[in-house]
Amino acid sequence: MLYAGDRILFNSPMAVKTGKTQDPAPSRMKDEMQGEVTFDDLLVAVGKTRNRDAFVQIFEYFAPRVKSFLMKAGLGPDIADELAQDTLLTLWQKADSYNPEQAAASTWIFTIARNKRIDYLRKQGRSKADPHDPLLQGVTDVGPDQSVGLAEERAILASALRHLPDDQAALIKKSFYEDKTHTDIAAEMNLPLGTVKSRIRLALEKLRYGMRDKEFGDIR
Amino acid sequence: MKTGMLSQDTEILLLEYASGVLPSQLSLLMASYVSMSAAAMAYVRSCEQIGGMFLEHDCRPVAMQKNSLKQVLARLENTDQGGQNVSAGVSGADAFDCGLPDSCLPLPLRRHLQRPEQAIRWKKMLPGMAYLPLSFSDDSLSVYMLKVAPGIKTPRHRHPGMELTLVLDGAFHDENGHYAAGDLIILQDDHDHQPIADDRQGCICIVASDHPAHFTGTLTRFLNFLMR
Repeated sequence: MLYAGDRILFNSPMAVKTGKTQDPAPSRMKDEMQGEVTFDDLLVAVGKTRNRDAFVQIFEYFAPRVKSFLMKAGLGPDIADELAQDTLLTLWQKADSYNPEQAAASTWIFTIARNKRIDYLRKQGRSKADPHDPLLQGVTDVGPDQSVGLAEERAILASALRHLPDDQAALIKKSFYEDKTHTDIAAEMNLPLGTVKSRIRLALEKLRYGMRDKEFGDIR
Repeated sequence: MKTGMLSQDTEILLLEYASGVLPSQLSLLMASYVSMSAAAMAYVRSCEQIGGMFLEHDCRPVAMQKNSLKQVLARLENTDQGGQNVSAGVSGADAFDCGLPDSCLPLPLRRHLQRPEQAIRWKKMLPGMAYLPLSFSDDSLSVYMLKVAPGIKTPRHRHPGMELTLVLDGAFHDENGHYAAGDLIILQDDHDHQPIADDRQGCICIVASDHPAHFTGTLTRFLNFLMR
């Protein structure tokens, strides 16, 4: 087995653990600057050398978060646990196609978890998605030309995320966590659809460009 | 690949696509759009990146069951021994003929058309207009491909709900503007319009709507019965 004997690949495997800190992004940026091990590195190791220690570290950090993500979409704890396991299993199976220049490990894991959710909800007849859904077939893969400045972009995102006003943060989180369209969200929160859309778009804009200090005028 | 600014409605749809909440009909249309637009692709990628950030930094971890890791590790063995579990995607190279050149079929759409349950049967609507309904397991939304010959004026119609149109090939114009391959047009709430296909190339699109079109022209009102 390839994974045997390559334990010394990481001089500091625990460095990726973000532990109890509420605000782990800076430590991650520091990690990158100091060349320490990131989840991206761990995922590459899983793909290239079937490194089980790396896999376990990814599992221990991400599986409980994927479980949490799935529960926010209304899944029960047992099924969420099972799908979180499946997500990590898919990660193991497909890790050899992971390219850190194209996507962060977290982005990659998010898309797998999202697809497990779509797939499960479809089987339950609770969603209108189907197994042939193009989203499940990875059409959002990008070419290498998109990869420039990924780490920088990620740092801006992390910072913008922390500076988002509460109402915008709440809406954008709903968009990602719950199995709801914006029409559903507007109805649930008793807000006009236009307001929901403009708030979400504004939040996305800030996240994408880190425009946290700019005055946006009357958005309501 | 098209580049350029995305409208608010387009961005919201892309976010919904990336967060996985769209019904499969719209997901197909959006996937086709994304494969034709660099700006849309970049937007979806950002959304997925944001999703990843939430997952990594915002989701409060919920402890896995005691044996979960052990079970997964055991399944890794099986996966490794059983060989790669290759996903059974439809190969893009399979020969099939839907009466359109491959160049106007984005990959997601081609994959859909190759599904065994998808009949390739163009239906005549009016002279110079034909449509091909795309089949899905649920029919709450209708999605079809529309082929319009050069210079043909389509019947004036409006939609009680939303209509999404993706131009695959050729071009058309209506009261609101001129649209070419790769353009996504989102109409909401009772918009009344009369698309006219490009004089030279005609137009091929995918159209999705949550309510059937209501034809409002004097001569085409009868279509409201026919298309039901």
